[in-house]
Amino acid sequence: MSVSTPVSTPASMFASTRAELDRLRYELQLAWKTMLLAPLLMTAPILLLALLQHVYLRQDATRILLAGIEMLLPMAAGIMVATTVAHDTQLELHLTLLRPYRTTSALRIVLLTLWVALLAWAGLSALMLGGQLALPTSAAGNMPFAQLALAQLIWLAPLMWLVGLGACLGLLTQSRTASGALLGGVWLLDVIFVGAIAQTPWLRPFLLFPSTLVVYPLHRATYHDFTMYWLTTRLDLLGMAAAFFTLSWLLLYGTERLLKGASEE
Amino acid sequence: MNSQFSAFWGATRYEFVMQARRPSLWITFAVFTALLLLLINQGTSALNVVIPALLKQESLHQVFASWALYVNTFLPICLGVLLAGRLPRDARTKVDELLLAAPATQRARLFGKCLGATAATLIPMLLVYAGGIVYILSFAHSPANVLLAVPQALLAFAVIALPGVLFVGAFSIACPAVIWSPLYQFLFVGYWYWGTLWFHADIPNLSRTLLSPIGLFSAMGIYGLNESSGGNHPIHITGSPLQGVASIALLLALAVGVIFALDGYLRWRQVSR
Repeated sequence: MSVSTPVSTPASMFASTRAELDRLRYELQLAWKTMLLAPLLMTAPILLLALLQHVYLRQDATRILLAGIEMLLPMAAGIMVATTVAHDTQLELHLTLLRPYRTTSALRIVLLTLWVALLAWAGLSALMLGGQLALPTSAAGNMPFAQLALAQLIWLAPLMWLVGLGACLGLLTQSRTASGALLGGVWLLDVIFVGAIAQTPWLRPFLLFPSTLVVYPLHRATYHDFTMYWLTTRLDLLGMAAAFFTLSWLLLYGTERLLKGASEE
Repeated sequence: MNSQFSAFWGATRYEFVMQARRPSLWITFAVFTALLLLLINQGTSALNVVIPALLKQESLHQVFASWALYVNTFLPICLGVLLAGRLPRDARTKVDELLLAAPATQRARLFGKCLGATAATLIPMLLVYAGGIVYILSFAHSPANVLLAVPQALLAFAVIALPGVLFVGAFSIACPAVIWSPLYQFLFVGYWYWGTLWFHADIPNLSRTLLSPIGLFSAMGIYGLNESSGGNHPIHITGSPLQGVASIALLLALAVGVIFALDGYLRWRQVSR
C-alpha cells in the first residue's frame, strides 16, 4: 500500500507564505496600539526623570537613560509577555482551529520582543554614537562597529531572560497577576540585592543589570571585572533564556491547562 | 444605611474568600519569600547575624518594628500587583453591569472589594511576619518576653505596615480602572523602587516623605528606630512621633480618597457611555 505524501510546489509554498504574512498582518492589526504604545508608556517616566536631571538639575543623565534601556525596557516586555502569553479572549475558539495556539502565542512573543529590541537598539546606539557610552577598549578594541555590536548584549541578555521567564511564569501560574508579581519581584530583588548577587559566585549568573548597577561606567571597567561581571553573565543569561523558551514551548502544548487557567482567574 | 452596610460586609466577605482561595496568591508569596530569604541570608546581612546584633542594642518591641519595616519594604510588591487584577476581573467576567442592577450602592461594593481583597492578600504577608517574630523570639529567651510578644508584634505590624498596605491596596484596586492592568503592574514596581527604596538625593523621589508607604516615619517617629536599625544600609533619616502619626493619617486618608475617586470615575464612565 502506498501513501501519497504532499508535494511542495512553488504555488503551495507561495500560498503558505502568504497565509503566514496574512496572519502577521492580522496580529499587528489586532494589537498594534497596545503593543507599540505600552513599552513607550512604560518608559515614559524614565525619560521624564532623565529630562529633569539634564535640564533642571544640570546632571549627566546617561546612567538613567542606560537604566531605561537595560532595566526597564526588558522588564516592560517581560510583564507584557507574562500577562498575555496564556490568555486570549477567544482561546476556546482558537483551540478548535487547525493552527495551534502555540504558534499564535509564539508569534505574539516574537513581535513584541522585536519591537522592544528595536527601541532598545535605537536608544543604545544613540547613546554610543553620541559618545556617552563605550565598552572598555581591552574588550572590543577600538573598532566602533565591534564595540556597537558587542554592546547590544547590554539589553539583549536581560530582554531575552525576562521575556523567557515571563512566558514560563505566565504559563506555569496561569495567572496574569501572579506572573506579573513574580516577575516584578525578581526584578526588584535583583536590583536591591545587586551587591550580594555580584559577590556570590553561584548567584552571579543571575546578575541582570551590571552595566547600570555594577560596572558603571563600562569603559573604565578592568578587563577582569568586565569579563566576570558583564560578558560571562550576559552569556549565562542567554543560555538560561534558551532554556526558558524551550520550557514555554513545551508548556504551550498543554491546551487543557490553558483553558483551566482562563476560567480559574 | 443598614442595607448598605450589609452590602459592604457581604462584598468584603466574598472578596476575602475569593482571593484567599486563589492558589496563585500563595504560590506568589511563597516563591517571593523564598527568594528574599535566600538573598538576605548572603554575607553580613544574614538574619542570624543581624537579629542578635539588634537585640543587643534595642528593645524587643523596636526589633519587632524593624522586622515590620523590613517585611513592609518588600512584600507589598506582591500585594500591589496581585490586587491589580481584582477590578478588571469584574469587567472581564461581565458581572460589573449586573452588579449595578443590585440595590447595593457601587461605593459600598468598592469599599468591600478593597477591604476584603486586601485583607486576604495580607494573610501570607502576616504569616511571613509571624515567622520572623518567632525567629526573633528564639533569640530572646525570657518567658515574659514571649507572653508580651504577641500584642507587641501585632501592634508594630498595625502601626508600621497596615497603613501602607491599605494605601497600596486602594491604589491597586483603583488604578487599573484607568490604565491597562499590565501597565499598572509595571509602573507599580517602578514606583516601589523609586518611591520607597531610592534614598539617594540626586533624583527627586518620595522615599523620604510622609507618603512613603513602607512606614518609615512611623518606625522612626513612633518606635524611635534610628540609623543603627538600618544595619549595613543606614537610612539617614529621623522622624518625630507627630510625623509618624501624620504619615499614618495621610496614607489612610489617601486610601479612602482613592476609593471615593474610583466610585466617582466609574459613575462618570457609566453616564458618558
